[in-house]
Amino acid sequence: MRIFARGSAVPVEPGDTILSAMKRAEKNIHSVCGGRGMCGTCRVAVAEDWLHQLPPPAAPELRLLRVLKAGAPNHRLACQTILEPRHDGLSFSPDPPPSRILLQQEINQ
Amino acid sequence: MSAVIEDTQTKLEAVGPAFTKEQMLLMRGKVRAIIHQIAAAVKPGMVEEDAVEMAKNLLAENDMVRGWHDVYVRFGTNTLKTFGEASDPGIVLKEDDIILIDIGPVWEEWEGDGGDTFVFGGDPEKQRCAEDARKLFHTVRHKWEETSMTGKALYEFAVEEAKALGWELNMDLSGHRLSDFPHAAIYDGPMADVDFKPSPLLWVLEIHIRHPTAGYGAFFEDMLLDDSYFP
Repeated sequence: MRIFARGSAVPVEPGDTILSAMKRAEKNIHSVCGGRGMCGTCRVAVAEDWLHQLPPPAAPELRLLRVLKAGAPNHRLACQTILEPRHDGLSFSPDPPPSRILLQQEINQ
Repeated sequence: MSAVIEDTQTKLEAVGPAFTKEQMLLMRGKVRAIIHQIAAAVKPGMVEEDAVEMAKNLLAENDMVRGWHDVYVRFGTNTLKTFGEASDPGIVLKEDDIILIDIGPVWEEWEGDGGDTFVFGGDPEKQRCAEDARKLFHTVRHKWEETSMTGKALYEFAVEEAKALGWELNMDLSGHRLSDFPHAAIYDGPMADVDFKPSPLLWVLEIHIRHPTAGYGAFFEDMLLDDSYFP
């Protein structure tokens, strides 16, 4: 099973979230709170044609998504999105760069 | 101090574009206030998971849905757990008991972080544990104020002081940066690793002590600031 981050294939193992699959594949995704659904830095934009395949966000995820700036209906938290076999091929984009984090990393280098 | 250490300090103590002293202190005030609101709403008979939910709701009511770390309200034996460790489920607060609170909310562009311990009932040893966490925090903070000790040396000192009081210091919680969100982009490591004297307003001093045999511990943390900020 694979998902696609901006067109780039990411292998998925059973029980993975989008975040855990991305991290194992060493793809660039942020997660300040460590996948606890608290910080919102792992927000992704799911391709519209895949959005209805995902279960709706639980109340805590929805609450956080609502307070994040520049929100959109197709946004989900990568750490809260558990992947199932029916999501094979799911396509998404990590939260749009340049984020404040990327900016800070550039300053540090 | 060598040029290399000065350079490291400059790098590790960088701040983001939204950082101001006023906003960081404002955030600190919000954090300290909400910790006490959470504690006041916790009652014996409550299940820990419900207390965590209540704390999250209180934070949300105060525009702090986001956090740079999870919300911890730990009851009884769960006060021994280290940062990030899952609590044993279903712990109910007893009449004579102890809780610790650890929150790290983000409000607008600014991070906060604070922790404290509260005792229910009259167990003198649990009272002493909670008081010693605060006492140790201030002992180490005074040492920071009065000397040029490095972050590493301050925590070596803290370990010995905790031992003298009869507690074990959990070095998994050994201080960290705080800034405009996210400090993790600047430095995500512990203060106990730094070879320079940490600057005020940029660091959080954490003290998590555990009883060596009994099933409880206590936690206190706040920003590293001088006495004038602790009336």
